[in-house]
Amino acid sequence: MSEQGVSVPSEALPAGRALRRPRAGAKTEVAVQLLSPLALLAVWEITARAGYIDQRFYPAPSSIVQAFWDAVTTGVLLHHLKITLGRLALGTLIGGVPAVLLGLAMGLSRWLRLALDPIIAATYPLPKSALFPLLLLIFGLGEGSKVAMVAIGVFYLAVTNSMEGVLAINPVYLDVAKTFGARRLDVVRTVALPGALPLVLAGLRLGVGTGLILGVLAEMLGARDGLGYLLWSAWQTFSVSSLYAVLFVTAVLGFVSVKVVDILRRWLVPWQSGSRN
Amino acid sequence: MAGTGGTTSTGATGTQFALRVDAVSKRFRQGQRELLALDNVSFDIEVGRFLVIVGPSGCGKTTLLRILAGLERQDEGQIWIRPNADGHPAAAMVFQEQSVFPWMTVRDNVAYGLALRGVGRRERFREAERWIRSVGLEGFERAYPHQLSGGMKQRVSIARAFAVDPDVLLMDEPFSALDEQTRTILQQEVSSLSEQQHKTVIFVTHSIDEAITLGDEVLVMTHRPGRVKRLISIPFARPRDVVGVRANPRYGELYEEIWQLIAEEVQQGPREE
Repeated sequence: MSEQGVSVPSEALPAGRALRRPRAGAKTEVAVQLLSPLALLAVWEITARAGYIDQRFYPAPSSIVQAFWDAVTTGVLLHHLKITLGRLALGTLIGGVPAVLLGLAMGLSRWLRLALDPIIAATYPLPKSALFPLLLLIFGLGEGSKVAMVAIGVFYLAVTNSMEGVLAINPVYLDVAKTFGARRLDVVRTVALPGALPLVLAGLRLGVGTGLILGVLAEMLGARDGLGYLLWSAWQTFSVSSLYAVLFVTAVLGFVSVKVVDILRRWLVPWQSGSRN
Repeated sequence: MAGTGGTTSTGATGTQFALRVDAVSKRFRQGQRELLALDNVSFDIEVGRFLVIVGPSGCGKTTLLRILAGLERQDEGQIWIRPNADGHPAAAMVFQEQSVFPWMTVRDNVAYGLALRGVGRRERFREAERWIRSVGLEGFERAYPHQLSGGMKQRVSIARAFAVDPDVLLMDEPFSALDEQTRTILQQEVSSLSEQQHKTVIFVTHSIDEAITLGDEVLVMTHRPGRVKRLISIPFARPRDVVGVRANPRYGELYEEIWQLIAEEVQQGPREE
């Protein structure tokens, strides 16, 4: 190890340091990010056509695009997408609104927390997917069971995060409110609610993701429409290209629904410095 | 007792007291043991005076301030704060740590106390903007705290306290987290503002230098349990140049005197009951 920090030639530096080179231009970075998936698709297309990989399981990207396009032009995809979207939206509303209210109330009231926290903690580890047969029994084969699945997925994450949101508020803010003469309702309005908001929205963001997983699963098991149903029937009819096409659409739906919560957050929580992206 | 000597009295106010602390004690329960934090603390302070409380860490000076702010209750003794005309809390507090609400703009933060009193939007914003100017944050009215430096946030906190026009300002080591330059600048501003506004200030610090540069009186506390060890008058006139004061030969003597008092306490350590 050399002691002359300033004059040390780069060869003498520890390996970790030496690896750090000046950053490539931003354009080059974007190009690499765009080109690598494209290159993967190209390799896939070529190997599938040349017969190196099994087209029955890994159909060439071009045939997936074709299947996608067919599903779009016949209106099938849009029909089922709308149905899943509707269930996701309704389930998020039904699960999310009570969850946020209850979570905030639990954060504010020690007694409510003592009463309800054990119930939530005890039922939380249960895989929500395991509840579907019970929900079918209760709500029947109609919309109810699917919406309930989404709602349950949203509920748990929203309720726990909303409660934590209140509990995580730095007590000094409560002291400030008190020294300025705030009454209980003032404290809730000016400190507890705004202070909890970042975690409330983080809970909703996670909840929507889980809600979509459970909703699609429910559609696979017990529905006659929706993206989950479409995936399942594509498997049953062995239309593998459609299977890939619907998977792609489901992924986009997941991405977009989380983005919607992100936009909501940026609008409701303008004070947070670390707004992602 | 503080201020009763009258040698550096503000004159016009005579010996009107802003606040009296009479035989206040406070215990904390720590598992099975009871810990005496404050033991029979008494002092009073005249209107418009700047009292600095210093002492070794753990001497209960922050507890005392929290009792004065109404955030804790004493177990024994009485607190008397001169009632103000309009029935609002007479004291406002500036906290040690970052206490500016991150979810409010600078203007909403400064107007907070007025909003709680039901002062209308236009009026409280006008008042807030006046105080934002006084602490040198013009142009940041609509900024959120995460866009401000530590010193700027503490200016917001000071403006928020002044905006409710309290008779007594309670300050709990408000500058301890700041770098030295920022601290000196803010010391000067608080010294000048409290002088201009005729505020009574109780300022807690562990810095002897801060105590001498800011205080009209310095109250030295003992190690736990906190008692009044000595009350020292600072003979420098106000308004005061907080940097210039350090060049005064009396500054060194006072520093030495207060240091001796605190060193005794630190060496002795906490007294167990």
